[in-house]
Amino acid sequence: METIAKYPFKFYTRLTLPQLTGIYALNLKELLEGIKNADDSIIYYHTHHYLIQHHYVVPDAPNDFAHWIIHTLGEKLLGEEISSIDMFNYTSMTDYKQELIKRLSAFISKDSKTRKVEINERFNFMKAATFVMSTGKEAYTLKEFSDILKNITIFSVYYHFFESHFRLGPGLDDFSVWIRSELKLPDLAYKIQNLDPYSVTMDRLKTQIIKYTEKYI
Amino acid sequence: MRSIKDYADIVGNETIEEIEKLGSYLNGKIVQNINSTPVGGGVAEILSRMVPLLKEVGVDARWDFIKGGERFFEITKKIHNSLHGVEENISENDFKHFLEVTEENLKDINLIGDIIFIHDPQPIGLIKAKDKNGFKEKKFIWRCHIDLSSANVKTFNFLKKFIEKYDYSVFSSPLFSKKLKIPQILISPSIDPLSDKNKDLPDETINEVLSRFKIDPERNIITQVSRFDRLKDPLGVIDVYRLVKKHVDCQLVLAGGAASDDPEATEVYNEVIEKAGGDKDIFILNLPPISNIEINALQRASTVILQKSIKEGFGLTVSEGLWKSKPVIASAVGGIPLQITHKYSGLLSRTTEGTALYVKQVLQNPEYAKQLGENGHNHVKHNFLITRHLRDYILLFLKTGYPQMQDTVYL
Repeated sequence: METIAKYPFKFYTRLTLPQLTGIYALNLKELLEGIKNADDSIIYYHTHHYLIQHHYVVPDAPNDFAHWIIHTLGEKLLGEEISSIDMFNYTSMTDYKQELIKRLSAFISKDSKTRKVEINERFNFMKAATFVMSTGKEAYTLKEFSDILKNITIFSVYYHFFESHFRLGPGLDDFSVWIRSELKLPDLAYKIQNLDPYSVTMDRLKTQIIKYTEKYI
Repeated sequence: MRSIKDYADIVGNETIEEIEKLGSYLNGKIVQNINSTPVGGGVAEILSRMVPLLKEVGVDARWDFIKGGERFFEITKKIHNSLHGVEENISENDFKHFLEVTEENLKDINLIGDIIFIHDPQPIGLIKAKDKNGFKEKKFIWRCHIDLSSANVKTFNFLKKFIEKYDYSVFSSPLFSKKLKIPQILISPSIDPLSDKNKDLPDETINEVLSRFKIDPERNIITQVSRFDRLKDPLGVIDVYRLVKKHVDCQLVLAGGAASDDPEATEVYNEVIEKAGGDKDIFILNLPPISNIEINALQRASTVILQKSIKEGFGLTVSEGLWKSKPVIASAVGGIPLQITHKYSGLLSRTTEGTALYVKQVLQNPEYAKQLGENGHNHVKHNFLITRHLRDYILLFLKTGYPQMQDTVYL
């Protein structure tokens, strides 16, 4: 017998409009200074926008800082270190930023002779205006949930899977919370909750969640 | 006339639904676009596609033009070139005339929009209307389609006085912007996948075009589509072809226009003809501006597409090539690195020899070429199609309804 939720899952979506801050870096020291002065929205943009912009590809450097350090500055070792900082270990952007600052400072104190790039290779600090909107779609059953999931954009998946970590706490996403509390399917919730969204593409993540849910229908 | 629904097959119905829902939040608002001309040029081309689509998703979009005589447009042409870093002699009288024409337009144009969306420098002075009674509530946006990175200081400072009175500015690339006191939004340009230049073509059309120009469909085809302009380095492309041809059989297509009123273009075209020296495998096609199907067919028939520019604006011909799932090798200049991730969605080169090496690699490794083309197609699909551009414009218009400092808007 199909479980019908008391409260439906309401699908929202999240869209962004990138904005330039006018601040840029030409070398590692300027990058560090920029990060120190950046607010959370700037750090968030540079650690998350690639997930949307390249949602069909697993990038070699999963954030803009690491990408620039590897591909423009040519500091592969540092780049790999910055790439591998696990976002899930930090409860806020401020904590993640402190870790970034610590690692960059340590590298600079050991090796201050880093490359200065041309102006057209600069790192531009950016942020984004975010728009959250209801899609008007809601699910009361797992079947409805799965069907809707097939017909929403990755921006919606992003909202419920990534933004939720900041709303609900680390490791928590809207999908698994609803499936556990409303549909009483803790095993399915556990599987979804344990997906690592930072190391798979958004397309793959969406497909994987659909696959998991279909097994329980 | 194309409908927004026609794009669903390409970007998915869910994307179209999202855009339509976003558009509904602008109901009752008038968005008034103003530029200098209804036809000709990239801005008019974008607006002619964008305005009907905005209307279709419920945005009351209008499109008006400023007036200006021959002298005014000669001056704005000089301003345009000077913003691109070209040495121009713009006199105080020229600036004075620019301001006089601006005043005339301020009297003539009915600024009816709730959001006034001004495109490029020609109508920039209309911001002066903001000081008038009844205009305080209107939002003014300046959309810069030009690369300002090497702008002449005097010209830029003249415009800056106007720019900084706007509520928002919009640039196509982070590299094209300048330090400004107002918020700078980043919106990349786009291609229309359903236009004649980019739509799918039947094999018969492609073969007919190749046959018309006597190009052999069975042999490798290297193509560069661009104006006959030194900054596009067509002579360098011939050097690349000759380096490649030493090892791999190929043909070269240089397709572009050489407008009769542009003496330099004709000069460059003649230099290209001379450099080709009668080589039967080099096809120099001086095509009229309406040759969109021909350009499309040539790109689709190509084995590899080049964009060996020395300087470039955004370089949308790269996206056009990638959209056709072709391996594109392009110079790492202007907006091209935003479109190509090196060795993933294409190849970025910096020298003639490097370009030739990449062409040989691609011609001799069809699987690699295919992978680059597929990745490039996906990148364009998600980032450089008109539907993304439309969504960004709607978000921009919505943003003007909230405080500038507000990072998150709940609709």
